[in-house]
Amino acid sequence: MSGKDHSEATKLLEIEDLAVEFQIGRREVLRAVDGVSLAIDAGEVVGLVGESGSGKTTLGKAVVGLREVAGGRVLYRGEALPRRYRPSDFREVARKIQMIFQDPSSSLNPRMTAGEIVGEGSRIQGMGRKEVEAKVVDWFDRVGLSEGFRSRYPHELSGGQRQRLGIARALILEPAFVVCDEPLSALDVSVQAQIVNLLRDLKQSMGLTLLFIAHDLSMVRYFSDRIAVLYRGALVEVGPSEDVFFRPQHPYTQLLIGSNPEPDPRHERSRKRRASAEPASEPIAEGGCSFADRCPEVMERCRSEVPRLTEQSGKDRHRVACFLFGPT
Amino acid sequence: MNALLSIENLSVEFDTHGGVVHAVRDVSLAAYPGETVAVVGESGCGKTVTFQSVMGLIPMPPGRITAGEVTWRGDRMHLGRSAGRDLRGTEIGMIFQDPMSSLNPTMRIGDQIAEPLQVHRGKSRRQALSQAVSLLDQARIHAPERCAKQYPFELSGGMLQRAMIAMAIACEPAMLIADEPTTALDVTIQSDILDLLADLQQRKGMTIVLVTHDLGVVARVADRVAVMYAGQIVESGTVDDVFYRPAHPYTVGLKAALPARSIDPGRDLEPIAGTPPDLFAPPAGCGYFMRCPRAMRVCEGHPPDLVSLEAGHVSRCWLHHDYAADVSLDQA
Repeated sequence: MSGKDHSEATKLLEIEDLAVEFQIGRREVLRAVDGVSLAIDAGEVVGLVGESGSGKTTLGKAVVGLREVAGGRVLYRGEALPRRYRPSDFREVARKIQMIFQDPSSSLNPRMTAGEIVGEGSRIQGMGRKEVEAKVVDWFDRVGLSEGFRSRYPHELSGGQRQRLGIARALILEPAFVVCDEPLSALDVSVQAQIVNLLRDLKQSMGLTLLFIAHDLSMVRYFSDRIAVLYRGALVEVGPSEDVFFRPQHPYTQLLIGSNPEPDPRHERSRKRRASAEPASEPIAEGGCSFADRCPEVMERCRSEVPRLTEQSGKDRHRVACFLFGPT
Repeated sequence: MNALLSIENLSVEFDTHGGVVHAVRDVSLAAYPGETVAVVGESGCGKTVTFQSVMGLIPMPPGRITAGEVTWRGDRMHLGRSAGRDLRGTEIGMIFQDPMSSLNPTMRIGDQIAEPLQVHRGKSRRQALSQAVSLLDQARIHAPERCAKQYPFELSGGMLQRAMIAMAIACEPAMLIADEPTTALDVTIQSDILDLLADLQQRKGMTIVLVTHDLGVVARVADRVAVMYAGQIVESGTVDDVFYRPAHPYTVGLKAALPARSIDPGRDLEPIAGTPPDLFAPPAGCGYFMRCPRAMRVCEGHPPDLVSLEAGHVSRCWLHHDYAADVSLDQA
């Protein structure tokens, strides 16, 4: 889906050495995202995977301005976005970058009708009533909701319908970049496929660029051009989907892909899996690889040095942060 | 072999403000000693209610078992408000999706695991507590003594589910009912929990009934599987039957909707159009009629029966009827 020649492709969004912190208690600070760098080409879908607490959602929220940036920066078409958004910044950025949330029932205002929810963004942008209404009607059609739903409240809709509403709400301002945070997790299998196809159609017709955050690895592989693997706030592997899914390099990615159950009994029976996925209780040593305490291949060096994300020789855009690979 | 648990023609209804919901409609299912049988379906299909009603875990009223018979080791079970009470915890252990809400937040883990041993096995508190530690160890918790002294909020989701498993197997039950046991967990932790269940099953010869929405999990652990839709079992058989020779259009549709590893990412998934029927007024004919790409006129008004295709492989569809012999199922 993305351009074949990457040197030609234009970078739409660049995340540079991004850090996001949370104050916990008076003194302690938790670095939820720590030094993440990722450039996303126009028209590309990058899947972001990692376990709960790895910082996926926090990273996504920092990109759309819902979390303050503690270090590094985010560039949109080469221009730096604010570290901390003022209301006027949101009005500005909302036309370029939007977010689709995991749980449409908790991200949609329960006191607004479906039509009001979808039209709110345009209204805030200062569009006239007639114009807003015409756009809302158009968007209900584009996401496959019948017009009668405009006067309904979110709780009157099914999960799939609510997610369609969430998509219309995010896309009505015609952003170029959309962060999709687990948009399928709350949905049943048969509905998931409907929503994925809808997202794909809209991506094609609008030329969208997506950061697709999800935990369903099979779906991420299917939907994304590249996969980025996040572990404890840092990227451990980034590469083309098929490479990362079928030939994972980093021991954590191998564990992740190796744990993904697939609807194929023969494949599951033949699978050999490493056990012991849960981290040991000892805290990780400062300045070492964050996966060292769970890694089956751990070496002396991993406990004292942090591996950098390095390009794999001979592999186009496949980067791994592990001492097993790359320069010594 | 005789079934350990056998459910025959079970129907369950709920009174709600909107009317009567026919949640489970004529479900028959058996679990044999030592096997893992999975019940798979989407939300609202009745998979959870089926087992909760057998175990006396649905509130009555508003719930009501309107038909059916359940036998345990060949003996007919009482199905009322106290259904399954004398089997719960001793013969049948249960674990649920959200261990945090199934555990008592104000009680230490060790005490909670010790409780069934004191109640059902007449152990002293001391004996029960030391056995609780050994059970936590069997559930592969690293520091079982320390864990026994902790409260639920101090443990991670994976640890809590291990603690739940330790509690469920405390009295060495013959059967474990696991209702979405790994749905709230990360995929790596899920894998560990599934391995643990398989290992316990082998060592203790336990029968496992796994209720899940995840076909990947079914493929990984189950011997047999029953697919539920709109309160009914629409297909059941060995996992190989159901995954490689799906006979019911719903099963075929579910498989085609999933992004399998063999799928070309350039191809669209094939979603199942529409939504499940309203169980306030279940359809007169086949429950899948409205969404089925192969629907025929007969399907609308006449409910299909379960048809036996091969040994142990059944499907509830008119396409298997003799008159439809020349119609074949397109397999995606």
